[in-house]
Amino acid sequence: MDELKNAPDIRTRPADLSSAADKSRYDESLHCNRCGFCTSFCPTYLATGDEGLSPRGRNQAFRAMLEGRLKDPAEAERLFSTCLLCGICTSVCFAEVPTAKLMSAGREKILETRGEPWFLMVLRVLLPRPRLLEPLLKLAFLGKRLGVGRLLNRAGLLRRISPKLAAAEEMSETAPLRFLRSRLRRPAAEDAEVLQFLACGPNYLKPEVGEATARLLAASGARFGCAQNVCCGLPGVSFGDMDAARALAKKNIIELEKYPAAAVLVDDSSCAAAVKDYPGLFETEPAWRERAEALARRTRDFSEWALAEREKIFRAPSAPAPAAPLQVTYHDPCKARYGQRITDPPRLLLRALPRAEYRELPEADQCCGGGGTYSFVHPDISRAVLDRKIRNILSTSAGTVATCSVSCLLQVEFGLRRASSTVEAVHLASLLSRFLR
Amino acid sequence: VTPSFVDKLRAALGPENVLTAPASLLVYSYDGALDKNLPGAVALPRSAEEAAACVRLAAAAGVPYTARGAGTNLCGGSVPAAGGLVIHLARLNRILEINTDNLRAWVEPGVVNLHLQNALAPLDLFYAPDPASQKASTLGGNVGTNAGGPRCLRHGVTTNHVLALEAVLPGGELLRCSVEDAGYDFTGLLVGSEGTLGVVTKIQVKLLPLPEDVQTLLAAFPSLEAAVQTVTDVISAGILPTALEVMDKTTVHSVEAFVGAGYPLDAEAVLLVETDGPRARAAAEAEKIADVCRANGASSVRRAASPEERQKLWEGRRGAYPAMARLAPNVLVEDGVVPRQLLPEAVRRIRAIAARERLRMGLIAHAGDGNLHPNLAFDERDAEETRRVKAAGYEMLKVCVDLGGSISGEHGIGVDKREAMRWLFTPATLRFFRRVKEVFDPANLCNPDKLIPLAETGAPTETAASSAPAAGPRSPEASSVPDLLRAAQKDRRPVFIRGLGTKNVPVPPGARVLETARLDKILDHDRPNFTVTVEAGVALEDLKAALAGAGQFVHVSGAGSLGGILSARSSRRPALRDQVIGLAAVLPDGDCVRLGAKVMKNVAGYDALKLFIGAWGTLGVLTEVTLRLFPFPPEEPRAEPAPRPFAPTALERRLKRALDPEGILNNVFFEDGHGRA
Repeated sequence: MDELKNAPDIRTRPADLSSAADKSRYDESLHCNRCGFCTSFCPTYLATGDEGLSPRGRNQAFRAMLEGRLKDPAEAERLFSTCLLCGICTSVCFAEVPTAKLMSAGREKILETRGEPWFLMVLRVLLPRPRLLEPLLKLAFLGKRLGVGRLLNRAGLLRRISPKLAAAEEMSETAPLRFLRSRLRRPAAEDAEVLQFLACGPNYLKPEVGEATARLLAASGARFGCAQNVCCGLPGVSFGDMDAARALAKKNIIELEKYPAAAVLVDDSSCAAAVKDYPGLFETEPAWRERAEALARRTRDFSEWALAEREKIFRAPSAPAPAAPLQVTYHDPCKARYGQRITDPPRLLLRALPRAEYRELPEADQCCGGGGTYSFVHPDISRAVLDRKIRNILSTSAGTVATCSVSCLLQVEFGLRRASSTVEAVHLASLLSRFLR
Repeated sequence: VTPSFVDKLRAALGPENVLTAPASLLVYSYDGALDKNLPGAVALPRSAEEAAACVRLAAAAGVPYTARGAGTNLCGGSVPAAGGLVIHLARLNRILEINTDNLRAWVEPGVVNLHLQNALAPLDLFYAPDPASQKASTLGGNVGTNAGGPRCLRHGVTTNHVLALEAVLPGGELLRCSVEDAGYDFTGLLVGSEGTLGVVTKIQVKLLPLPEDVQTLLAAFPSLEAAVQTVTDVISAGILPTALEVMDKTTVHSVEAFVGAGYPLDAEAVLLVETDGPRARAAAEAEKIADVCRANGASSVRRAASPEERQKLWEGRRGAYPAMARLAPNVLVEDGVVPRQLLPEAVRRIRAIAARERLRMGLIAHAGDGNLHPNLAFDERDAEETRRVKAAGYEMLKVCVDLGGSISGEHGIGVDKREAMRWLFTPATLRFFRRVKEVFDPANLCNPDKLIPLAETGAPTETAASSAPAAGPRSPEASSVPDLLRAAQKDRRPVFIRGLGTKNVPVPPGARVLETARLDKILDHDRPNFTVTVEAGVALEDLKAALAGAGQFVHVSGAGSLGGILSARSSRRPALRDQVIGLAAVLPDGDCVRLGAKVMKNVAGYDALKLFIGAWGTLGVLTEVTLRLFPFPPEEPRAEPAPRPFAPTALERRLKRALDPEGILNNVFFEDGHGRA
């Protein structure tokens, strides 16, 4: 067979690497001794039953690539690109092999040989420049509102142009034409105690989430204002464009250093984790690393902040009893659960709500399949993962499912729509804000 | 693998369910061990029918194939050693039925062991085998290796919990078999056959009610020997806990770094004991066990106060092997088993080997079963170190064989330990295994090159390589049996076996009667090991009388000789197949085979001794039987249905013909009309 002419070499050997980053990723990959204990936790393996789409398979392929045992590194593209980067594997791995990190590095390697130019343009040109990005987004959203996308999709044209675009069109319901920054109009004052980091999800797709956060911030009595941040850089990390990620991180570090005493509140767990992970981007730049560490220390995930400020936000007896009792369950964003090891704060907040009953979600450790752009880059796997999540949500009989990342929120909303369910998906900030006076 | 074969597979399964891309093949070249080989293609069937289609297509094209579950095997059992097709059964992951009335469940082979446990827990039930890999390993894989686990000490291993199977045989036909079938125990044979006899597509397992109470103790000891002595003392005190696990200092340190279970870091060894049952009994046992620990010098004995604490302690134990990956990129896990009371001696010799070779080793043991796992850390990129580690591992297995044990308690033989089979089994016994394999898989396509040593270049080579003790009969009375059978084969004269004459089967006309009544010696009563080996003609009553004084018991009922009771399977509850751990037999052509050993767990080679239980003497003349003993008497025997001879199936006829081509031994059961009543 043609493919067998490119048979990979199965004998391991020391890799000959020049860059320090490659060497550390390689050393990390070596600690996978192929026990396979991770496989049955991995959402993509559970959805496909394909060893190549398991953490062990991905680590072994990554290692083989660095050891030069794959004739063409791009052969591993499917294995690397299908990783949700959720991190559950590392949490169950006794050797704590950081598979998600290795997959970003693997994507970087492949990007070096064959990048998708249009995407690199988005990452490197548009994301750092909101003034270019925002008009383009508005144009696209306007098209969506006018039904252009749906029309093209129904006619099957969009799928022909790009299945990814078709999947994205099908998924998203929201297309706000006024973004969060202009809705809030609240630049930070010099003496701000809290900076509201405008993450792309709340800013461009779910501005009502950011508005809820702002109301909670106001209720807490803190002096706060919006940070003039750009994208956190997570898309760069996900796609393996580390240079793009570093450029965005540096921009944000410089901007946020203008308020050195302020806490940075991020109401999207994916972005919160990305900011807390900035130090890892600067392994070879100690000065930047130090600045990144300082920023990470004062960065708060929404649920961490809300739990710490709970007393101030809900000054008794301010919370009105809701009209009907609420049964609520919670979906952990992976970047909260594994990226920041946050599991208790959202649960404590929900359990404390008046007339609300908290129900734990079965398989709460599993990803929803959202993963930012993953849901439209790999729609089939994403939807298989999502179906499992939706089944679990429905099994709780809760009327509301809360979460803390816009990517998860969009994904779960999409899944509930597909299941014709009346269960409401909501961001934790939106839900909490309903209990303000 | 040819393009046309791949095309046919794609047509049968859908193109997206057949993988041939180089990176995909690479990740199916390994399992949890060191051995690797590239497959030519990988199939991902979604149903039993599609799995059967894969087997049929491979058989038609002459392509070797290997069924794979989670690929957690530790001896290369799920590696495609001969290339060809990997049939990955992960998508056959449905629990088909859970019957809470008769406590049975039907599952597909790709169901993860832990997923079944999770489905059973809300029903207050559990499935007993709990290999340390249970979070990932599949029930199909567990069946393939006859997997054990910590709590098999009391409850038994996979073969004691698999009641029925459905498998696609290498010829493409479907085999449905159950332990309740009269005739040859193919269920018992398939369990532990490492996927070399067929591809299992459905499994019926036995379920147990969750105990009312579980008590978990962690004791710290100043020496490994003291911990192991405690194990022997606990069992000698008449307590059979669910688990008795020993871990050494190196292991405790590597595990504790990840789990933080609160294992004592200063102890030379820790003992993890668990017992369960009704609240009062479990508590009393735990108290007694704690006393035995203290009497053996335990510096601390801690009792898990909550289910979470218990979970943590077990997480530490289950992580013993993967946690070694913190020390080095690779871990070789050996899997020797010895008579329980010889564990300290085995440990002494194994440590000496590790010290001599300057190896980093962590030791853990399912000590109650005499099953020990040296974990050797190394880096496979260092060829010299790898060779040393492998050689040392082999030497450690040799230690176990020298002490009367076996080379695998629960992991299997796979590719890795094939050569070590020669230490354990005589050439005649290995030949017997090959004949069994040939009956099922004449074209040698079904997971070939596993389990049995390769390169059969004639008897002399094998004899030279074999260091197994001779398998021939040990008593003068038995030593005439091979000659008698050989002569009968030559003359084509029927032979009929007669023990104490309690089965009332008339002697066929013209048959020569082979009397076994004089095979009446108790050969070895190993008290600390709780085993007894007797000649097959020993009357059950005589054996019971002999054991009575020692406070040890066989859980067998009925009349006649042990050989007769086994052959007719006339004692049904508790199942004989769960108590016979070894036997010696003379095959119809005069070959002497010795199967099993004086150990509680043993998965070396086919579990072919089960074929002889209920075979009515058609496959060989039993000369010796080894039984496990209990520190307590059996429950009152219930009335047993009269033993019934069997109506042979085509597969049974094939096996009989392969072993007894002239049809001389107890062939009456194969003659038309017999047993059909």
